[in-house]
Amino acid sequence: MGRFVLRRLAQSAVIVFLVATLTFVLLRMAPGDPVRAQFRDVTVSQEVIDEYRRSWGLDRSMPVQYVQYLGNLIRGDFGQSFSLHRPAWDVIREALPNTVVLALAALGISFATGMVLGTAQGANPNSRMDHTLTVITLAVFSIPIFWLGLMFMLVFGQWMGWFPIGGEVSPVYRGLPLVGQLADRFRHLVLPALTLGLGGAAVVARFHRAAMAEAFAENFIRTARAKGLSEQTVVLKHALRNALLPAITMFGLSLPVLFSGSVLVEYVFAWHGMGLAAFEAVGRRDYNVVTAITMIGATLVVAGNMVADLLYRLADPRTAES
Amino acid sequence: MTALLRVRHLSTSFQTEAGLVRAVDDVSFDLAEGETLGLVGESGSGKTVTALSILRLIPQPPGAFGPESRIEYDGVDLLRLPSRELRKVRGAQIAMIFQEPMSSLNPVLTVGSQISEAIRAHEPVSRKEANDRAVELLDLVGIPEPGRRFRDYPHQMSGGMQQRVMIGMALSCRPKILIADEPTTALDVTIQAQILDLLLELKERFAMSVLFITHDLGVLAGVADRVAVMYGGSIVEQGPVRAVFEQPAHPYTRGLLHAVPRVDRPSDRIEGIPGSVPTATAWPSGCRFHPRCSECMKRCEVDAPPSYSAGTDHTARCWLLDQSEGQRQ
Amino acid sequence: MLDLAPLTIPFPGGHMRTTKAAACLTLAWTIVITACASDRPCASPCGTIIVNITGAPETVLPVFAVSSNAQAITGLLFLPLAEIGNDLNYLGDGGFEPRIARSWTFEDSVTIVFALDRRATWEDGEPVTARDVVFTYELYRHPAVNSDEREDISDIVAVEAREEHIVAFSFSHPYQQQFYDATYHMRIHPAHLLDTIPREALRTHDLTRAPVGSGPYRLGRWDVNSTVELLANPDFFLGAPGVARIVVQVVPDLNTTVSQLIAEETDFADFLGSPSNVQRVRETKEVAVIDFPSLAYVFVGFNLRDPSSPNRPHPLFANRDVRRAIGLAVDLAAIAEAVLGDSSAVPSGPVSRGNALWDYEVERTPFDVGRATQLLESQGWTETDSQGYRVRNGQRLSFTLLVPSSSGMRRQAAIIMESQLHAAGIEMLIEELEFNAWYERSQRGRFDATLGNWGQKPNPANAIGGAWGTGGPDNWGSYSNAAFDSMLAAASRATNPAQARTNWLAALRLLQRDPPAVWVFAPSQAAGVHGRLQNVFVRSDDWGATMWRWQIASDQMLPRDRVGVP
Ligand SMILES: Nc1ncnc2c1ncn2[C@@H]1O[C@H](COP(=O)(O)OP(=O)(O)OP(=O)(O)O)[C@@H](O)[C@H]1O
Ligand SMILES: [Mg+2]
Repeated sequence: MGRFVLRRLAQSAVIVFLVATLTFVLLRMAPGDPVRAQFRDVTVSQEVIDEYRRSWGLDRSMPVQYVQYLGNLIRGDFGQSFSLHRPAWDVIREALPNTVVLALAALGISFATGMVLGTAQGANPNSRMDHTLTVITLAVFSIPIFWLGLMFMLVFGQWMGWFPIGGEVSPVYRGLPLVGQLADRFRHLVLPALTLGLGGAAVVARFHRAAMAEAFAENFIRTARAKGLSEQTVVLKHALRNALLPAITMFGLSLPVLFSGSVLVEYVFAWHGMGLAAFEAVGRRDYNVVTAITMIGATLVVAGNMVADLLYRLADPRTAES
Repeated sequence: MTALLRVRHLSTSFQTEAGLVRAVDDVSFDLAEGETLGLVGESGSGKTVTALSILRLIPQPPGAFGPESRIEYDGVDLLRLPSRELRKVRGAQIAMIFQEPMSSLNPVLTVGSQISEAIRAHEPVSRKEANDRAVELLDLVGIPEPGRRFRDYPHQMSGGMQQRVMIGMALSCRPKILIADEPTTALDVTIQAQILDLLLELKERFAMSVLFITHDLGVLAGVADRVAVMYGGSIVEQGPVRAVFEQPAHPYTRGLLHAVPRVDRPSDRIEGIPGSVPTATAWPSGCRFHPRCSECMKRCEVDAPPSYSAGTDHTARCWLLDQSEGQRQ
Repeated sequence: MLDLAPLTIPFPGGHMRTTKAAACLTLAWTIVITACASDRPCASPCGTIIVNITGAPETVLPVFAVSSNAQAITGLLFLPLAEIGNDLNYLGDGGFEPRIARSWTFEDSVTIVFALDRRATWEDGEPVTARDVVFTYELYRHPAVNSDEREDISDIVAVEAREEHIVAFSFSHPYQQQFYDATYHMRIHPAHLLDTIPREALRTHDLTRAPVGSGPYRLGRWDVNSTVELLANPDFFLGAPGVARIVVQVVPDLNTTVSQLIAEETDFADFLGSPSNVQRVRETKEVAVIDFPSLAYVFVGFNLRDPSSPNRPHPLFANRDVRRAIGLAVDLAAIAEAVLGDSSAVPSGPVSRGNALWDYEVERTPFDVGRATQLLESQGWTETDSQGYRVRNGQRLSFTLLVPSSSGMRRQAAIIMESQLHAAGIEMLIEELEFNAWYERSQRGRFDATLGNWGQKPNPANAIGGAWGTGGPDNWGSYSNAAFDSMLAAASRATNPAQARTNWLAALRLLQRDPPAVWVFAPSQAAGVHGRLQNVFVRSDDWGATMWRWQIASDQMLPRDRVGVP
């Protein structure tokens, strides 16, 4: 196990490094000038542009910039944000917790709902409930996430007024007492997390239904029933335990999807996370911020996959000692 | 001897895309207390479906029982028992072991916990007690170092060991009846004998009735009290083991007996009988054996034979036994 | 002094009264009626204004502010010597209000002397002095600080502290916009705090994130990506602000902002986006829409150089008559109507609605396909191919228009234009590009025509010169007309308003005859304001300019107004 973790850590470091390099190069190859991008629709003199370019080191050749960038990176410095005149890390430090909260909530919704539905369906295949849920999950799955978000916003935010429409906290959050702050955070989380999580829930339900159906077809289920176990025990202990393995794999695979999906949700709900920061930074050609976000995102995805692999090993005794 | 289990007119069918599969068709037999009944037949003849039907382990749908079907255990019809009550019979009164021990054990649970779980399903004992008893059972079925193997996962054991675990699990609540569905088929030949010996020994020790399913008639000689021969979803001949072996009444049984059992590999097809088992979606008309029967007559192609007596407690379904045959034609 | 037509800001006051009456009716059943009797503001400073902006402000120090949002926010923290009037007059000192400077005198034609207000202090209690003004000027001029206003104050040759509270500005030559240049571009920075920081380190220095200003508000909190919280300075020397707290939050999606306005989650947004968004707000009783003239104009710029080899003239657009013909062949009024509804108008040149030049009576290029045809035929485009496009020497009259995909309105306008030009036998292909890619292509002159949008300051001279003057940094199409250049210079250097006007008129008319672009539309902008806010005025160049004087009706306070207010 220890060696496995070490090997995976080394692999992960290489992956993150490659992602950073690729982002670094691709950004500089993409059309658009980072200095000009800071001056939208206003005229500005070449003198000012040149001075910016010099002070951001963009006047040097790409290999030189790259070596410098790596040098800074080793010292834990992600460089300066072009558009915000402060370390790129400041942007991340603020955005990262928001994204993690949203992603975890969405993951929770995806997997909790998806597993419950999938278990119920897989345990009663071809029942009327199964067919109904299949229609519903397929429908939810095919709804564009953007549209779903707008509908939630319109119905539960604007019309019903049950939940706030935008932001991760209300503007006067700081002034609330602790309990109020927690409630405030929760209320803001509901709609974006549902938007981001429901599509995932549909996918998880579909996959998990199949996994449950597969587990139910196994002989050991027959054994469990022959022992006189209650159906509940058969489903939850014998079938579910085995169907967890595909679910864990799916968890690992869903992380990148979650991060890319969060860009849209964060944009619509004014959720100031990494997705939104990335969106803004790409628009402003804020190289260092984009690279830093990509690296952090890659790290999170790689770490999530490692966790999934470890969980898989814990959950499946057959791989445990190999 | 009184019959502990009475199976009457059992018909089990499956609704499939290829059509209705009549896997078991009007099967009746008795299992007396302390008796071992051997159920023999080629692959696909409906042995497993019969066994599973007894404990209602047939998934419904696609499976369904015919309206005439009755399975009486201790005077109660298991087919009509509420599922809560049925669960009390499963494992506790009637236990079952299966053909493939590897896939019949849950890969993500330790073997010990799978045994103690069976105990706790029926008896109000603590986890600790159940675990202790599971270790005893492992010891009983001949697993060395039972205390340590308790925590093993199935994949860490050999096939023979796994089947021993299955046997221990089946015996955990001292059932009255043990259904053993080809318990040795998937095992190495050397192991097969050990498992067979173990079963015989435990049957005596626990004074159980056994429904022993096999496709190898030879095995039954030393094991069974009575034999039922299945072909095409129905029992074509049944009777005391001696009578069936010495005076087989059905041409199919004769064919089985003539076939030399191959010891080096388990064979599905029985050598010596030409042709193969028809599919359960389209049984032949008349006697289902007639396309392969060397003594086939005209009426065999048209009418299914009823059950005829072939001696004391010995019956067979074959027109050859019809005394009135000569007069009628 | 120029007679500038006052900018009409239709504020729906009656609309707000309806709201209040309705609110009183519902309240009357439950709470005391007297609470409704007054529409007086709460005792200032009180309450909280929530403001939505679409992008995070890049700084809270004025010298680094580029975006309009950063300028509005820094404007609430830092003061200029004098504030431009709501009519945005930039000639002489008409309309300017005292801020750091209490009074000023025009000593001679190239010197203005300001007397500073002795009551003005920095947030840390230090007085604002002439030294701060001199420091500020040096800051804005310093190459390492690299303020983009550097260009705009280049006619100021010296700023001298004559006494503790007396400071003199000297200009290189006499001209009309001296006062505007001395006061509009620079907000006074505290010398005693910033002077010791090396100029090149200032941009990222910690102090820039904890600014000490002299304005009506001070910085409460700044979360880079999401919010800026401003707290009222009750001891502000020009009078306490009306509202105790302003929270500016970043909401990138304008649909969300509109929903938030309707759900009363936010109080103000200076920009609502598409006409349908504006309509949604108009239909909401509690929220008012304030239309104000925008300082931007949209154009189709022609490239006069061959995009593939810039040394050669453009095969089509080097020809003045072809450019004119295109201008005549598009029905701009129809485009403006279709894209922006009634909130838009056709400009007479590179001028926006918020601009003083807007009201100069320069005749617009008419929509006249007949005249366009005549011009094209005179240039040899006499034949027509099977698809109805004009042909000359076997060559179709065809060009490509670059459009940034980020702007829905510009994309829409391009599509309408395409079909209008087809009717006149001109093929216009549309190439949509991501904003930065579009900008780069345009900026490098790699285009036939590009659909652009320029923002302006109250004095449009620099922006117009930069975009359309010979060698201007943003003259993408390499337009060059010496007569126009000299008229522009003359207008800027004019020593009296009449002279300035004559030159501007001549310059705009010249651009009609020798057009570098088609001037497509000049939008007016719509802001959404919650009806509970009073005394609201939105100045075209700066949504925060008058915010310190806004107030909240005492009977329309919301629970959030008081949460966490010190
Ligand atoms: N769930 C099911 N759905 C459809 N058909 C089934 C199902 N289970 C069994 N059958 C069919 O019923 C028939 C009898 O099968 P069964 O498993 O009882 O045979 P068997 O005698 O046990 O054979 P073997 O020696 O291979 O175990 C076969 O044709 C089989 O395909
Ligand atoms: Mg079988």
